[in-house]
Amino acid sequence: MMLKTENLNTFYGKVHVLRDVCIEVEEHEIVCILGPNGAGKSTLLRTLAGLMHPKGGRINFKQMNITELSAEKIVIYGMSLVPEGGSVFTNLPVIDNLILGIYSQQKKLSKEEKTIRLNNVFDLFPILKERETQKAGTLSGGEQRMLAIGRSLMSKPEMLLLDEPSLGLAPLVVKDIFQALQDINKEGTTILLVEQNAKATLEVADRGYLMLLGKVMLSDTSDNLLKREDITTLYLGKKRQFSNK
Amino acid sequence: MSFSNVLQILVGGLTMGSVYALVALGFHIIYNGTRAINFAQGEQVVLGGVIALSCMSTLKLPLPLAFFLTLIIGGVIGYFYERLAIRPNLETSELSIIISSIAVAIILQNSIAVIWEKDPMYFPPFTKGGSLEFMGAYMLRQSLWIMGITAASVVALDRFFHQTLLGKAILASANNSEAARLVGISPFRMVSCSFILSGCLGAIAGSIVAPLTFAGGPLGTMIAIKGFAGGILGGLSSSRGVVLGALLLGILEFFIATFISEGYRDAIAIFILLIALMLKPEGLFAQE
Ligand SMILES: Nc1ncnc2c1ncn2[C@@H]1O[C@H](COP(=O)(O)OP(=O)(O)OP(=O)(O)O)[C@@H](O)[C@H]1O
Ligand SMILES: [Mg+2]
Repeated sequence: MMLKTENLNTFYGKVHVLRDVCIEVEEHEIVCILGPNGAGKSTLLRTLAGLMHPKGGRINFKQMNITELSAEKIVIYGMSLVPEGGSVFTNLPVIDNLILGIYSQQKKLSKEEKTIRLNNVFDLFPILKERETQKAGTLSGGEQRMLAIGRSLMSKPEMLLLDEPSLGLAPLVVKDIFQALQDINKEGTTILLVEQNAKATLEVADRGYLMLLGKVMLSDTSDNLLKREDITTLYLGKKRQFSNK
Repeated sequence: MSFSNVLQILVGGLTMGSVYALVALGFHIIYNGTRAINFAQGEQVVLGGVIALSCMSTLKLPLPLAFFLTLIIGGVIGYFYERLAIRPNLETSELSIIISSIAVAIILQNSIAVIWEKDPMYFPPFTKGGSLEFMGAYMLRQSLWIMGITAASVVALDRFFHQTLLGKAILASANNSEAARLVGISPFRMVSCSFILSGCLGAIAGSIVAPLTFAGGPLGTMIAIKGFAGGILGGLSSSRGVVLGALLLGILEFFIATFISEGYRDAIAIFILLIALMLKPEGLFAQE
């Protein structure tokens, strides 16, 4: 088991957001979490990545209890979050954004290893190579999303968490990004993906969880979820008609 | 106005302008890291002067060593300043950081008066000898030191921020602290580094200006106002901006003091500060 949460309960002040959330992710899987706005999907990823701490419950990552670890530490253990919207360092050039991706391991890495990782990212997203010296703030939304994914990959995480990587992007770019995620997964990285874009996501994911109002409502394989037309239309609604294809 | 006049204004203006530039860079670094203004910056400059003086007169160190030791002590003081007075407020508001910095300024000011003296103390120039003459303009030897050391500091700082991983991490953390944490950067540590740097800058400014202004005394407030005015004029969010703004202020100040009235020397900075805040609060040269 790569990741397992037990009854996570997370609050914003007094607002109780995550309610007894239990999820499991096996090694090499792509697992998605679907749910409408405000379901608590981002809160869940932020809790896993250590940006927030749960009031109750437990997070196990590679058999290790990481519930109380800070975000700065968790990335060292091999879990990396690509936050909502990407959150690149807009004031720094693309190349520096990528290099900062290995900040947590800088001392342990050889020059060659750094170059290899950089080239892997450039192979995956060739546009970043072209934009290498440009400030990240001048990139398009899609390019920033690719940069954020690339920055996370620089730390060679065993598990990648992504918060709505397709949000607000044109269908063609979404396709590219989902393709990249599949490639990353084939290289051995476990992926936990939050999305509202249900159909496109279920097509790449092995399994999915459906969240509603801070609770996990159901979990099943992607194939089964895709068949249940009622769920995708009921909870995840019209959006997919625009953003998929 | 003759050529030698223009040259004289440039030399005189750039001398004090350089000192203001170092102070303005200190403001800039702290502003970038915390969005707050460090009101103790001026006292850190004064502290640099008196520490350098003690290193030479009490410890009998030669000037280069005294300068170097002062630089390090300035950084150490910056570190403890952040740890004790800033860290507890980092997650509250900018205002509480500002208020803490005012408290530290008062503590430093009084400590200096108690430990050293209330009045300014003589500080020998870095090299002996009369003024240098160049095409009809006169320049103190200390001016050369001031401009040279400032230029070296500006270049070193620029290299640090743009070519070292730590420098980039400080910029990244200032830009997006949450994303910084996700790659393993501790924003607290980056703020700490910023205070160490601004402490070093204060120490440098204090030691190089002391032969002109003397060490200690009530210099701090004025030099802080001028560094701040120069920084605002150029744009506090840009390192290039604050340096250019401070140099420009130095030149304007020298021009007015020489050709209009010496009495306006100190007023001009405040006047420029007000005008800049009213007309162009983002600064003349900010475009980073
Ligand atoms: N900083 C905050 N303070 C208080 N409440 C918050 C805060 N951030 C989120 N919430 C609340 O927590 C709940 C879950 O938010 P979250 O951002 O996790 O939802 P989400 O599933 O990611 O939604 P979306 O699809 O819109 O991104 C929402 O009801 C939201 O109002
Ligand atoms: Mg969200």
